[in-house]
Amino acid sequence: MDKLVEVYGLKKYFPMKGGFFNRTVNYLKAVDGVSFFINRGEVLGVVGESGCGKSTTGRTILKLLEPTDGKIVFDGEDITKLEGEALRKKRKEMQLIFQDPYSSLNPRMTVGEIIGEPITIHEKVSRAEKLERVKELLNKVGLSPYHVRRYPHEFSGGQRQRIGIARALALNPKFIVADESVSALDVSIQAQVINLFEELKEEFKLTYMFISHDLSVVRHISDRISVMYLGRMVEMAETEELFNNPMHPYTQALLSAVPIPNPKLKKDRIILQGDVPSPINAPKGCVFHTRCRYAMDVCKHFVPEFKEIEDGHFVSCFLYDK
Amino acid sequence: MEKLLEIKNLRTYFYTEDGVIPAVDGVDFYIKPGETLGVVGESGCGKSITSMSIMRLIPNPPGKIMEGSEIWFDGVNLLNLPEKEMRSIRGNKISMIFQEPMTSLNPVYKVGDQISEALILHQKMSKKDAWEKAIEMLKLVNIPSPEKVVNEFPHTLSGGMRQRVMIAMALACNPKLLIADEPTTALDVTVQAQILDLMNELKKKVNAAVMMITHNLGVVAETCNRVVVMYAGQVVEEGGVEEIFENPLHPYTKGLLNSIPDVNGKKGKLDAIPGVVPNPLNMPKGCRFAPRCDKAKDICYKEKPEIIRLGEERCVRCFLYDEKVGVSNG
Repeated sequence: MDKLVEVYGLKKYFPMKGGFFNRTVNYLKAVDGVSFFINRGEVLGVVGESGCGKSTTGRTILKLLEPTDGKIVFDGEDITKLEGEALRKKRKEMQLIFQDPYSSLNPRMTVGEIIGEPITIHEKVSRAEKLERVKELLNKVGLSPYHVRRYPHEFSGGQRQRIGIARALALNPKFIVADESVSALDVSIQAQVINLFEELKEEFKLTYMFISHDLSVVRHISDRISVMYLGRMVEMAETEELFNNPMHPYTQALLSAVPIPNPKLKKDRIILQGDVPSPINAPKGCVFHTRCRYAMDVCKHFVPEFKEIEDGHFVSCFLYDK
Repeated sequence: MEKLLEIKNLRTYFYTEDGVIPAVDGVDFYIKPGETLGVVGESGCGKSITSMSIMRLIPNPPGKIMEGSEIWFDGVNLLNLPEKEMRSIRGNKISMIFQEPMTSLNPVYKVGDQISEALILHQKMSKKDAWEKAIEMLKLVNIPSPEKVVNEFPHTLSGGMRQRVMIAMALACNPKLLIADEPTTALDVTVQAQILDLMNELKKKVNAAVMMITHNLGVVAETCNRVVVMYAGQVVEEGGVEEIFENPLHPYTKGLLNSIPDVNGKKGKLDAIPGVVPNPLNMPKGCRFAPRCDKAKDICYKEKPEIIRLGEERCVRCFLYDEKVGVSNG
């Protein structure tokens, strides 16, 4: 299949400064060797708990953060070393939609200016033409053209998220990273925005990387899902396959932890003990072994490889190591 | 039947420069001893203001609990109590767990000091006894090595641990009612599962009634006996948890349940509720949900629907179920 994004061994370490002369004393390994791909026109959901590196992964792919190591291929071109004008041109094709619709829109700009800004930066168009395109975009995301002159504070959370989406679509991107884009919204509004994401995907032939901690949302929208834990990818499979046949012990616990809105359903819950360890002092060996029910000796010393166990089902766990 | 808490016609209004905001507008419900009542609704529906009103923690001005409101707890109307007596109820007979475990613990006091404060004040314990009891409480909420944690400051603990400390603090005086305001919203799913599990277990041990305020319908289904659904400052539906999920009556409750992505992974368009929550400064004249309702009739825009009792524990605020109006059910 045609791959739009390919990532090989991606690492992103943040230096921890401190001590004498502000030296680098340690590294926070936010993303520690992640490999995956996203096919053209599909939605890859990325789930995991806070601090697992899912947002950092999204931002590093877009080159908003400089990767420490690894390789990123976008649309057949290696963009890992891309910088300056060449990178700026490439940015047109990939966009980010943020979590918080309150802080991601400049309160001093009108909606027209916010959505029009990427067009001004990347294309030479007349004012009238730009306004025309902004109005068309507003229509597409379910707002009205007369909203152009208004300021972000005049809109509700759901409407602001729509403005953020219109801004991301302004340049006809191929690839969109949606980072917790519906998490801050109420359920009824969340459903509206999820529907919008799906409509726009069809209309603009988009590819999404959909980052969220909400498993039911991710299950609804994604074709494939990858699960992250402490900077590593532990499992990746097609959505239904992952839900019906979770292989990694962490995925199993995560899926069983989600409260289900059905009072009659009583299920056996796997409750993980303790908290996620700090990414500054990640456990040696398999990062999950400290909380794993099946932890063996080998898990404490060696890092399991992220391998394809079944067709399209990737897991990194020694349980499946033959 | 015996009722631990009964709220009658609670109205909490906020007087702002722009006008009067009826944040809670005529809310009635009750909680029986030992049960868990879920209060569900979206942001701005007044669920948190209701709980703050019970605790009499509404800042005045701008907020005001209006004349005619009644909050009966254990045979007394809390709204008539002098502040001093109210203080002996707060944290003692009624205690509260907040959403943000980071901001609701005092960063400059040790965990042990914060738990023992309530014990020293309410139970007149000596400092030493209270400290011992604090360790015991930490053990109760399954904190590993409580003797060590009791000497820690909140910032050294993780989010889940802080929420456990909050629960320990809230339960220290053996309250009859525990108000939990979005207790797991700020936590990750696996930690949320730990905390919900703990709360269910503790509820059996201490036999307190719980008022569980949340927007997460999954949490409601797993923890509550009865449910109150709120919309725009009013109760729109009330019933047992199974009835609410299996046979929701109010169009808003139906819409809310349909908005959650199907857990069985059904694809396709979600049935979103169109539109947005009304501006509290400018509430619709008739039913507050009418502008977003797909079953709205003429009467819904003109007149305010009253609560219709359909049974001992079942009621709904909707003209669809009003026989006098003559609109058939459905």
